[in-house]
Amino acid sequence: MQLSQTEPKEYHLSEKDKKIVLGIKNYDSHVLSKFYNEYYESIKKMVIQFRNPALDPEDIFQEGLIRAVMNIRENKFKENSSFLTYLNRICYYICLKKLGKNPDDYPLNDGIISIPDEENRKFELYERVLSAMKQLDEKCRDLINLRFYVDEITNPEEKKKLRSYDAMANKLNINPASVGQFLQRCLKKFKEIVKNDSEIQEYLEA
Amino acid sequence: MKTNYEDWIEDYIEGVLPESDKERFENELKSNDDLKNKCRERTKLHELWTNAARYEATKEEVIGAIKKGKNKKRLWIRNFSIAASVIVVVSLSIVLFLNNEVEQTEKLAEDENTLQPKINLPENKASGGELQELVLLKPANDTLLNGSESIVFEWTPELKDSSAITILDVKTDSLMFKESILPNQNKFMLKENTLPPGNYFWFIQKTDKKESFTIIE
Repeated sequence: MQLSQTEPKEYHLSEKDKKIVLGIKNYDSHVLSKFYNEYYESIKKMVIQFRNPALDPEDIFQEGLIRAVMNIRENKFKENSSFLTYLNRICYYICLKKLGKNPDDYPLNDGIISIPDEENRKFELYERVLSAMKQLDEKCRDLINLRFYVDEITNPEEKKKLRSYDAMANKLNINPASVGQFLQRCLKKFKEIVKNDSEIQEYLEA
Repeated sequence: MKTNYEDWIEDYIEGVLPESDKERFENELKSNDDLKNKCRERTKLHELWTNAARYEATKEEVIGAIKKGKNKKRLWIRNFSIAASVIVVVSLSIVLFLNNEVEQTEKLAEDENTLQPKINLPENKASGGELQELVLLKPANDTLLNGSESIVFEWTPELKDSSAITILDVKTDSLMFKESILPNQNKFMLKENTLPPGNYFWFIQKTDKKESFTIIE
């Protein structure tokens, strides 16, 4: 998506939006549960303007909200617009992509906000990785998850701790001596799966 | 013995490679581009995997939150519907109650109207209901009387309430004489020469009966 042609105006986040950002960063489920009732109708209106039955407003809203939440947690939200405007732009981008349109051809040069293309593309990559992950058997997935501290990463309450082969073997009920080899085999298998996906491969080789 | 450095990649990246092996591995990395690439690829794979896992966790979190939001909305709509229904039911009850009240009042009024004659009977008596049954005995219609003699007026039955005997001039309809009569009275005597010769009506007030008489010279 093209960067805005006009200089963004100085914007100060409202108190409400500050609380939203803080709530998202703190994994406050109460803050998240308010979004549907507060923002869905606005997003739906925007989606309906495309007049295309291929676009499901609920799906777009859900996808946009996931991206907005992740971006905020990764400090990608520059706080130069309201949360709603930010969410709206993300959803707008998703609509264009779903319709096979190049977002660069539909810039929003209104001086409010623009979202770099790579920020949006990474989510498409995650979807591809998730589908590749699902091709692995459950034990392999669990082992790699343990090795990569996924539980601790996705659950902020958990503290990251050293994951020894013994601990992993114990948790997965496998022989500790074979954990290393088993892990290698799982990772190799995963690499083979993603080899078939040019976009993931492109990312790994970059 | 030839070392398979690729087997060390895992422990090196995870930071669990023993210090002596780590030094050897890093030295090998400086000269082995293939190992370097595999290391970088493994790091990226780790990053991609954890990000995708984080994405999935966020997805579940957001789906749960949306579900919660929808339930809240549904609950709000349900509560609103219940409240609205209660208001409608209460309003209807009030309207029906008021209508019933009006109907009952009207029915009572109708009943009252039906009962009116019974209830009004004493009133009729008071307002002359009984007086209307009065019969004026004398002087009867067109009686000729001598003005120089006293005239006796008589009626039946006796009056229960006080009233008045009234005499009007037929031609001019003007009041010629009026005198109170007491309860239980059924006669009245008009003194001689009270009225000049002429034609007169007489009646007891509050009744519709009247008689005429003529006074001659």
